[in-house]
Amino acid sequence: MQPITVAILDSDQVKRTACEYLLRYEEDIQVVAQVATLKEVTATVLGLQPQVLLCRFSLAAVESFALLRSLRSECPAPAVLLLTDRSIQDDQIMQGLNMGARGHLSYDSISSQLAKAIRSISEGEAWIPRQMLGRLLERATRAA
Amino acid sequence: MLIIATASTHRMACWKDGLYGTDDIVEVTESSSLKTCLARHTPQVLLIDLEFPGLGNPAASIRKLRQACPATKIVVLGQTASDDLEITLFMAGVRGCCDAEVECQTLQRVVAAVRQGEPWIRRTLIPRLLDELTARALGEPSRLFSDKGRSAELSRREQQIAALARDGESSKQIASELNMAEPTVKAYLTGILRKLGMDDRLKLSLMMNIGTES
Repeated sequence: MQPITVAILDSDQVKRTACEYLLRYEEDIQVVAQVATLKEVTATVLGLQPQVLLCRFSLAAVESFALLRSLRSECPAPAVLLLTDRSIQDDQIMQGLNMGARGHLSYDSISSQLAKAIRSISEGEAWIPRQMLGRLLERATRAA
Repeated sequence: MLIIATASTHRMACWKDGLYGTDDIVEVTESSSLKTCLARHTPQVLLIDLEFPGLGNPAASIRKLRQACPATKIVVLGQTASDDLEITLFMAGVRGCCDAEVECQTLQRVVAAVRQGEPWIRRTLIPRLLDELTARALGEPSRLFSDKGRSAELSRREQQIAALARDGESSKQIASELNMAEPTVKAYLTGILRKLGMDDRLKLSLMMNIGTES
């Protein structure tokens, strides 16, 4: 069976390596690329077509949003899992999900959940807490 | 405070029994009194039968109810005709969808979840709901009720199995190729056909072939 292909986008090399290290014994998951900048991502996605993109949701959120939007028109589009630290507000995460990300995971819980989340979103599922989905719905339908 | 709206005395009795002791319950059996009741009581939750009179166009009716009572969380009980319709209802403002024959304990869990701001939705529908939310946020056209949306809703594993079935492989062959048990493959195929709204494998094969040619 083909492994799930994953690319990691993080400007912090320590965090990138940590993600790859966490996945080293997962036989069904293969990290095909690590990239440090948003510019490199598009080339990687076009070239290697990873199924999942782990994307550090940077404080330069506007750039992350632009990336998510542009990935949405790629075919096949990778499923994007946003990795967030504590500085990121829920509001920003929700915007990221609205722009096409399929899940988010905090760095605090990657050691126990990263592989599970990757498997789940690669199968087409979403990885977000129900309460956050509720808030997304609440916003989208408030004016409806 | 919770309002139950159904014209069926049987359903009213079942749902009230299910929620006995958990809440103040107001019963509404006619569509003419629903809006008045909502305005008077502003309930936290409205449980409404999908067959309730006046819900002829459920999504439009739900939108109107939401406007009349924005703070109320609406849960629809009944059999939705398709996944797409169910997502449309969520996009119109419902916070939960479940079967009308729901068990007492489940109904209590539905109400508790919805109260806490957690939508009661099948896990498999969440990605498509997110997709719809994204389309709305970005001003793209809805993907519901379109062929593209329907084939996109297959998971990667389902797409693998559908592709092998298209090539004429038997369930047994697919099972050995993907290292799965044969009954699991059959269950997947049933799910795939249901998602695509088809009743047999021949149609699946035809549709997949058309899909790859175009």
